[in-house]
Amino acid sequence: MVDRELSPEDRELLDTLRDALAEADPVPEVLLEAARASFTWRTVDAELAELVADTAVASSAVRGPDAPRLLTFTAGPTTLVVEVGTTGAQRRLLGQIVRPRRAEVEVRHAGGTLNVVADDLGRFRVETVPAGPLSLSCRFPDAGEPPVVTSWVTV
Amino acid sequence: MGDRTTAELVRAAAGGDQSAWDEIVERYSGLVWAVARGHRMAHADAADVYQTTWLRLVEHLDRVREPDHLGGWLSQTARHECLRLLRLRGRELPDEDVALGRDPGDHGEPTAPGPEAAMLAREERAAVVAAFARLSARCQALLRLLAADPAPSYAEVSAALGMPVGSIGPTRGRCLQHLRRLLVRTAGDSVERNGRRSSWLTES
Repeated sequence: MVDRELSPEDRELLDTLRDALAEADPVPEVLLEAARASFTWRTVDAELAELVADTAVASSAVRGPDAPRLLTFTAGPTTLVVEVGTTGAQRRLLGQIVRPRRAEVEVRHAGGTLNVVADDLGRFRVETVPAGPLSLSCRFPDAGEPPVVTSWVTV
Repeated sequence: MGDRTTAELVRAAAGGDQSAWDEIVERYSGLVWAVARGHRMAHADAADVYQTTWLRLVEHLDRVREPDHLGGWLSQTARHECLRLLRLRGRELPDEDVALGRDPGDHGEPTAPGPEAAMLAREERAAVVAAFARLSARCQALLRLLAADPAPSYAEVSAALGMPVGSIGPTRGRCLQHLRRLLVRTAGDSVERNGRRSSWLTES
């Protein structure tokens, strides 16, 4: 523990600060509950597609401030590119699966799920999803491949 | 329950044990929240970072290479998500309320009446929070983490702040010294008026 070498005065000050912050800014109970409930999102059969690029954290010098945000996820040979548009607290998604193919897409967000279909060209669209944590799960009914689920990211 | 190591909890949770997961959340919730709030995130953004961090752990349960270092992993994940959101918002420094961990407009003291001792303790805590809010962003981030319950390890603090382990101790010393000076200057009077003087108000 870090406070092993603290003077008694420093330790008391830090203890007081701990009590003060616990009172002024505790972890909200609703978030604690959500953290426990997040375990239900555990998937055992799907391949995890990691977030490999996010234009929000790339250098945006040449893109301009109003360029849409692009998220790129990959799992093995499958790539998923998602454009995120913003309208207030709502997000609009335009997705592209590469190599292009049909898929059943489950959009997972803090408040639940919604389902859309990617067409033969691997394109899909979600008109509105709440801002916050987001993950997409893709099943490929034609190909007999394992499903792919993206890493969670805040949109 | 209660005496399982973090590595045991991670393995159990990866196998589907909800109670092990709950215990992990219980153990590290304060740390993850402290990282999010320490990056001067607005309350709603801190909430998103907190939630996303736990969801990331759910998906990575069977991939966490060193379960004993889970606190460091969570700290780093939360920190990266904070930086992502801060870039996304293109935001500079928020106002004092945000840094303080209050919603704007909420400047009220707790009003519930209590015994004398509780009133004094409450006054003392309010003074500490007010002084804390005047510290530099760096000091606030560090002290907030060190004040998390349970207290994080050096490695976890280092991962959460991107700060070398070697500079944590000296920085902590300077930040606590600064906090003490602010308290002596601004709150010392009222605390003394109440015939009480805490040892942390003693200038060293």
